[in-house]
Amino acid sequence: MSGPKMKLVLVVAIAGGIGVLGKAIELFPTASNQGYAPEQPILFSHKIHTGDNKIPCLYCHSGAERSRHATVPALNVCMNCHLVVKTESPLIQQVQKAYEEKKPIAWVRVHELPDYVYFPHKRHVAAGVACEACHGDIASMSRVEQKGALTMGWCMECHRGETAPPEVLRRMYPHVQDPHGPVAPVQCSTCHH
Amino acid sequence: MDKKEDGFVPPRHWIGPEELKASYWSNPEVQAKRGSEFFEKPMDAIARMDTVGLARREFLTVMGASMAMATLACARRPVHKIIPFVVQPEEIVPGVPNHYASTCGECSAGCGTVVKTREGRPIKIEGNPHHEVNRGRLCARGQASLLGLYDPDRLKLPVHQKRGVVPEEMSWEALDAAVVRVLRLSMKDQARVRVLTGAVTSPSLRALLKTFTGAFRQGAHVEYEPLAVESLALGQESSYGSALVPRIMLDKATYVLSFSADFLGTGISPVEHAGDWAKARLSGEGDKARMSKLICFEAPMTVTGANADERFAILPGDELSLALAIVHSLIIGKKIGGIFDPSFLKTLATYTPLRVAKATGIEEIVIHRIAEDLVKHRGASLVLAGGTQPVALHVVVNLLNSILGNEGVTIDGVRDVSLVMSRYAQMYQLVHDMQSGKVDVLITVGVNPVYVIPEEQLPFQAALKRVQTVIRIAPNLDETAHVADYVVPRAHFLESWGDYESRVGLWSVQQPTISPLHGARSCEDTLIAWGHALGVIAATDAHEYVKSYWKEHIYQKQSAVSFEAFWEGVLREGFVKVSKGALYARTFRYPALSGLPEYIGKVALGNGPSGITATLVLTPSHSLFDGRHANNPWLQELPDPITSVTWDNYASISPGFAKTLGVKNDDVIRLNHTHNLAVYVQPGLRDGVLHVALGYGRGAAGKVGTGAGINAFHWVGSRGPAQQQFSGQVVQVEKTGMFYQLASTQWHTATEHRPIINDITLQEYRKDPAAHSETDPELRAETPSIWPEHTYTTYKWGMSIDMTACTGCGACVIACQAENNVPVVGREQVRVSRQMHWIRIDRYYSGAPEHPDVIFQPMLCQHCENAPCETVCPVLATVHDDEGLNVQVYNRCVGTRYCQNNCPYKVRRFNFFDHWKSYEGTMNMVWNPDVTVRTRGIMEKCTFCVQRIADAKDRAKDAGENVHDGQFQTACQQTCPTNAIVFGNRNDAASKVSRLAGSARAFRSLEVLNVKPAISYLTKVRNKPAKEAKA
Repeated sequence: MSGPKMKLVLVVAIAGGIGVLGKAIELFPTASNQGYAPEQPILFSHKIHTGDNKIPCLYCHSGAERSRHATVPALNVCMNCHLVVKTESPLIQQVQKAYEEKKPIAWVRVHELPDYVYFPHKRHVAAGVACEACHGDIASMSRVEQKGALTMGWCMECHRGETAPPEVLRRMYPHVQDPHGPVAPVQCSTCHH
Repeated sequence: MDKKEDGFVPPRHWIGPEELKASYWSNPEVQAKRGSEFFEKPMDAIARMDTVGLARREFLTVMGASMAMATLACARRPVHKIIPFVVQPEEIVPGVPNHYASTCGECSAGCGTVVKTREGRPIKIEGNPHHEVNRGRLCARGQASLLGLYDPDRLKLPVHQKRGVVPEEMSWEALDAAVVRVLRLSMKDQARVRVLTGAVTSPSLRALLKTFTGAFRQGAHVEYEPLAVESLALGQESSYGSALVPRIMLDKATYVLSFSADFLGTGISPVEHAGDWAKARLSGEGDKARMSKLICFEAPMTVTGANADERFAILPGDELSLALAIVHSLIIGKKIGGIFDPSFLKTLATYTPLRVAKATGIEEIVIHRIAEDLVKHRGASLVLAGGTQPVALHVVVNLLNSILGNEGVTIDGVRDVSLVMSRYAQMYQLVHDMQSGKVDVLITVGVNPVYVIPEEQLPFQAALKRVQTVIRIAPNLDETAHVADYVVPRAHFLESWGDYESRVGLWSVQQPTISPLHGARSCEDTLIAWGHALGVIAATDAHEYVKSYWKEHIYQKQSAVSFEAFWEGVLREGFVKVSKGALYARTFRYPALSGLPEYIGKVALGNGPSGITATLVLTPSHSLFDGRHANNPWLQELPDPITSVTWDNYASISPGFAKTLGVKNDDVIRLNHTHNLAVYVQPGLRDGVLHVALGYGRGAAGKVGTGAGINAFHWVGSRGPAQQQFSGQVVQVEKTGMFYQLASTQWHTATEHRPIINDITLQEYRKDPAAHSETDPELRAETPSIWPEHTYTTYKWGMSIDMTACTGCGACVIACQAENNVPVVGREQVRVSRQMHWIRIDRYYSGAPEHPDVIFQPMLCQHCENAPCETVCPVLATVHDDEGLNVQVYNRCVGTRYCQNNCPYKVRRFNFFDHWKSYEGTMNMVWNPDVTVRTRGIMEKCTFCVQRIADAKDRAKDAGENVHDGQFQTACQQTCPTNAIVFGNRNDAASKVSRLAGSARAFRSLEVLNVKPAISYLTKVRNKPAKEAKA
């Protein structure tokens, strides 16, 4: 293939690509997965656990305090209670079976950020941001749904203080009557590296 | 270089000798290349792709398909699963790394390591800061050993192959049953069993091998490795009575004289020696400045020679006569007293400095001057010889050290590294036994005899046919495995239990950090499994064996606590130290000198009757060593510190010799009518010398290493059981007219004479610490800025790099690659200047091409205050952050490459392809999960290890304070053996980096551009006579 002809092919390919991309953007205005609530391999209800029985989030998601990842609990954490609690339920028996067979459960990921985003749960928990601020009222969800947009703009609004929880604002600006202003860094390198 | 041709002023620093001629710069081809800044256009590269496998049409198809996929991805996100543990191990928190102390298993140095693991997989190896050998540092090979763990070519199962028949995999049970059957019969029939290993540095493995081979009435352990320092040990034996490797203390030596000893590059313990050597380099400022001196006589250009204050290019084989001429000047010239054996004095009398000077081309005055300096530095000097040099040279070097009073001061006579037991004579005997049918079972581990032994000299492969059972324990199907009956997968050192006696009284433990991939077994585990089945070894695995060995041999020496507490401490610290007392001085045994030959004169060189001949010098490769790392793409792509060539070996010859042969760079020459090699024109070599690196040309290394370069072990000489000869062989050289483009990074970054580096002499520095400011009128040019200044509240990150300390070893390059997920691009892409290294080592010469001075400059993103890249990015993908970092935002980048074009340091790297896809299978486990893996079409560059900054800030915030100086290190700084790199907060006037940036020696590269880099370089100071510096 000669040079100019190839250039033409390239131009057509690029123009076509841009066209398809434009259509996609029109159909799906944001890249957000807001409202995503996939079915899980075991019908686990956050409502029962953290709503009705008031189990603190960090009891199971213990990584949130120590790590970038909140972490989904290992089966041995489930078995801490379910060795004795509700053992007659067929759902719990499913869990017990998996535990005995040493077969981990493959949960479907609900909240997911792109690979180039490094979001630390640890710093947010340490700063006193409530889990609900981003995850919504988990205590009322039988099946977990992505409430927040989890887009960069959505993150930035909070970091700039526009949508920051009042308690965080009050702590950042303790001597101000009506606190507002940035509460967290807004540098690219804060999350992207 | 004040010589002018038509008003042409040659550059003060140059990359290649051609730059010194006006004709080079007026060449239209060069001018065109300069216009494009030595980069190739993408269209040229696409046109080339027909020749490299992926055809242009395919390329467009791939592009179109991935574009369609990219748009679809917007519609539906892929569903990802979270799979937690069933029972989470207590020590593992996903996202939080664990660190384990261990020992590097790549060479005999025994450096302590700290292995960083994430969710159970090792992702980075660093030096153990408390370990006395390497003090937290590692070399490039140590850093890259991580990738060896994930080598996709590793064997998955044992292999059984009837010779000449297609090999087939077998289960571990079947293998053990088959081997144990053979061994049991051997025990009964008194069969002759031999275990051939490389140099053994583990005390417990040595004990294990003794027990194992002792089980057979005719069993023996044969130890041989081609580049083990056999002659050094033999020289020690004849000089002092025992074959050991003494500890040398370069930090106490103010004067170091080296005869082809590459102790900074490929020596016995390069990290330790480079660190010690750097300590004795420049200290103090102004007239109080002190600095050790390094004098080097060598034939090839090595890293050590490049760092020498004075380097003398010699012909291979002249080391001995030069050393004896110096002895002559000392003893017969009455510079030093003493009573010497008359027969030795008679021999010595033939080595008059004048005679030697005439024959070797080294000035007589130099020989006398060195002798005088050695006397001046008595008791604080050090004379060294290369490990592959003849024993006679080692004896003379020992004599020098003894008469100069260095024994017990800069040399500790007690053995340092474990006993060096590797002997070529043993290997020779083994092959002869095999040939005469005296070996029934041969087990080989470590050394790769089929690759390293030249069959014409010692017919190992032919002899192998007479051995009934050949067992190979190896990580992959290498050359020796191909001729074995059974191949046993060998685990990587990161998966194995083991130990090292790094130094007398310093024991290091090697603990596994991951369970063996594909169920491989360590050499120890395999031998124990067989020995246990035979009933000769009580232990059932290496863990138990090593632990009981330590209980018996090491714990007893310090039994203050219970063994379990002691063992736990060892595993936590990685090593244990028992005080060994004062330094030990030995007495030189003069009879050792009786075998020295009388001086006969010049070594045979030059034009022979049958065409042009050259004298060979074979050295270990700086990155692949003896070929053991050949399948490691990081090391294959690490540019050689001297030549910047990647992926191949080549024939280095002097510019003068190249002219004689009528060849230039990349022309192919043929050696002895058999082997073709591309030419690399290397300044600083003597005419007629041809230097080739060993370790290339592997026949069966794996997908990466097989066929890269040619096997130079072919030319290693041997005469009977006597030692092997690594230099001095004369070979026929002929021009072939063929051309092979070496993948060199040399010309990718032409400076065009801008003041990018700086060097001065110690004398100048003593007179005026800021003398370097005068070296170039443009160095300190003050230009007003049109940009507003950045302001910083807490941190302003910056770096300082000491060019006096930098040896150019390349450890930082690999450390950065491992830390920052820097991909490998392959030979073809390096040729078109697309390697991805975030930090590179630029090498410049100055002075005459016959004896150039060398300067190394680590070059990485300068994080400029007025960054030229930031102002041209149309999408703000590269911006300045509030901590002084020039950040690259991958998800914003659209790949215009304007920034790369506008970067005066040429440190930005563009992903022309999805290079990460070249990491197959297990290799993907090496990625650092804290750093984005970059895709095609985006720009990347050094981030000052922003993920480490984030981690340090995270920990500081936990403690409610700011990051303090030295709390964390960047990957390059962390591994630098000579502490050349310092990183820190420039907003803190007390930080080390601020103080260095304000020191008299500091300058900023290309300061004239007013880009205000965050990196300060410290001028290189050379301890050489001032008048020669201007030559």
